[in-house]
Amino acid sequence: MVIAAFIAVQIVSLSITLLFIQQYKQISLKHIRLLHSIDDSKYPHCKIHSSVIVWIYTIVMITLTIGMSVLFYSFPNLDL
Amino acid sequence: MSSNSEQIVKILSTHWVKYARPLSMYIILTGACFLLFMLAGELAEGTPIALHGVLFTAMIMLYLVNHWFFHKLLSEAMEDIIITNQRVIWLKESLFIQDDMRQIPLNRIRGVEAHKRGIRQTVLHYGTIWFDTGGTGSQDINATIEFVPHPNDIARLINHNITPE
Repeated sequence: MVIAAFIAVQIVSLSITLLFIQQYKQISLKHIRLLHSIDDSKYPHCKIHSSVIVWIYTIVMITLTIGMSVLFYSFPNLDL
Repeated sequence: MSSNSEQIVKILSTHWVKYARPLSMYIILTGACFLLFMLAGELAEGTPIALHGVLFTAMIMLYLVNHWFFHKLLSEAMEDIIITNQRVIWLKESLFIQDDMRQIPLNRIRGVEAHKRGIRQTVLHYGTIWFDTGGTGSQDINATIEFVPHPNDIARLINHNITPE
């Protein structure tokens, strides 16, 4: 029961991450298309900032998922 | 290049100071999560129900704080201001919440004002620009862009390109 709840929380969290990244890509593509309709050699400013943030987000969430699993399974007296 | 000879004059995003508030909130909330984990460690010798409750609360809270923080950062980062020789385009997006695009043709603009208010805005070189399109006040959110880096330079650039009707 506890393990099932733990896995469910992890899956929901990873799904939220994937949803946010997917949405970010759509918005980013929209900005690029708008800018390319004026000048196809230019890229939006948001592309640089958000790419860095998305990479940090991915790394943090993967680290958090692994870290939580290690913590959960190594926690003393946790009745699984 | 578009056929109507529209050319991009400048592309910019809003000032990095917009990240300061979410970052400070993130640090405080993450600290609160770690306090809950420490409390769970203290409860390890106690009843399992209390231990499970505190541990799951800390874990869910930590995930929520991280998702909220990166949602906020990505939403703030998706703001673009595009100045062309014909219009000013302002794109403001927030993941799943907001999708705004404002376009102000330069021939509708009578003037642009730049405002820097307070020590923080003056020292960090950011402020608000207001587009006077006739009938809009400086408090009108549809005619103002906040957190603009070097607003005086941007206002000067737009004023230089204005060709009134």
